[in-house]
Amino acid sequence: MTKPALLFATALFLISCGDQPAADRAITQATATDNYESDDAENEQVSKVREIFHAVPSPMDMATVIREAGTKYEVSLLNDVKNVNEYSTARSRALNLGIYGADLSYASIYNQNQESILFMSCTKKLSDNLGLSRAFNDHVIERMEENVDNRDSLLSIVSETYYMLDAYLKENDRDHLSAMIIAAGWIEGLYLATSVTKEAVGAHDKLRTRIAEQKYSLQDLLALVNSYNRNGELDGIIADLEELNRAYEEVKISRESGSLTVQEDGTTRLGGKTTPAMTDESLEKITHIVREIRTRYITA
Amino acid sequence: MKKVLFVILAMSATLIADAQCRTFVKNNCGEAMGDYVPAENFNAAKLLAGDEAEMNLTFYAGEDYRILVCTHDILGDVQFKLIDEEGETLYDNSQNGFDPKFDFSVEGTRKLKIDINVPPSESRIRPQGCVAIMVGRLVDVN
Repeated sequence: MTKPALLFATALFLISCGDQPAADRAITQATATDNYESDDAENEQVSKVREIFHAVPSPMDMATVIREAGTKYEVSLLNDVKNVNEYSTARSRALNLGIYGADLSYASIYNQNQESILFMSCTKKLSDNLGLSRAFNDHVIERMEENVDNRDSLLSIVSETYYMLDAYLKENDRDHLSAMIIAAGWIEGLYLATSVTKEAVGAHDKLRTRIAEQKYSLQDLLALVNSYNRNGELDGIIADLEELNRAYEEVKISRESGSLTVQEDGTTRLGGKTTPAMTDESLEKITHIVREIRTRYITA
Repeated sequence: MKKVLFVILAMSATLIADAQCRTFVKNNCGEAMGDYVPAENFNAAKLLAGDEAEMNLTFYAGEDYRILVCTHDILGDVQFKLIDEEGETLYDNSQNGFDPKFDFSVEGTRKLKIDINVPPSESRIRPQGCVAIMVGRLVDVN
């Protein structure tokens, strides 16, 4: 190998390693070229990276449970599409990108397909305003219109759109925006669920249980937001989530031991029933806090 | 002139490398999710042979999930385990032919960890490739 080619290959390797997306790491240095001439295993310095990812369930999950609880579609609960023109800061745009995303999931689950297209339009507008046009498939609105009568296709389009948007943000060092979108989407999902508990008839217990179980997801969300808070841009959101987390301290979840079984369809079932305990007072407190947070986020 | 060309080529390679995981996932991983709708969190990175990754997530009772650890072929047989709150391994794909996907449900809502190990390289050059963790759920609302 000639000297220039070796220099190029080394630079390419080092630059691509140095520009990896930000995340928690145990060790960040990878040195494949160290000790190239050495056969001594003790002198070999091969560093290992442990990438730590964080995730929270999709707002679509909560929308599904809300629907299964037998509640009617309630458009008055959702963020008015006219508000999209009021958001002028990066923070308000990112937060409402998350909120409209959750509203989009809710509308889609309820087969409100024309409204879903409106919410997707809001999402696209906010993405454009944030300079994320490249992340957004230009044809997503057309695809939704073509599939307006196919709920499953709409759900896939929604999921894919937000997934690729999240991917773009993380791979372009804008992961703090990703955290805002995810956090606001989760807040909106919890707000919708707590707003309809009194109207729930079919699977009321399941809805109430799911609200209680957000105790776990909130811990995942806090870990996610904290991991992306490099310059303090997420301090306000973290404070909001921690206030909610304090309210969830009163919610207790007990778990029985269980075993693994393979079902007839080949899937595995992990046994061990869990039982959350949440008083009406705790639910009221959580409802009040999440409503207050959400109101601030949608108010420009 | 040669130095300028060198810098331009190196920077171009960086941009290409940064876009690869997103593009890799889009082109290679979606089909394997089947009817499971993936959550909207993008969790992927370029890892080297010998690297590890983990993801903590809450799984809800009554839902059907698919975990897909989608990786570049260059990394070989990537192992992943599903570990519970007590550190006990509930599932290890190395016991199942390193199948990249695992379909399951939980009787009770719980926090689990997906732990990933990229096999070490036998040569001094450590291959690098995308590793993406996708978690999907069957959506079945009438």
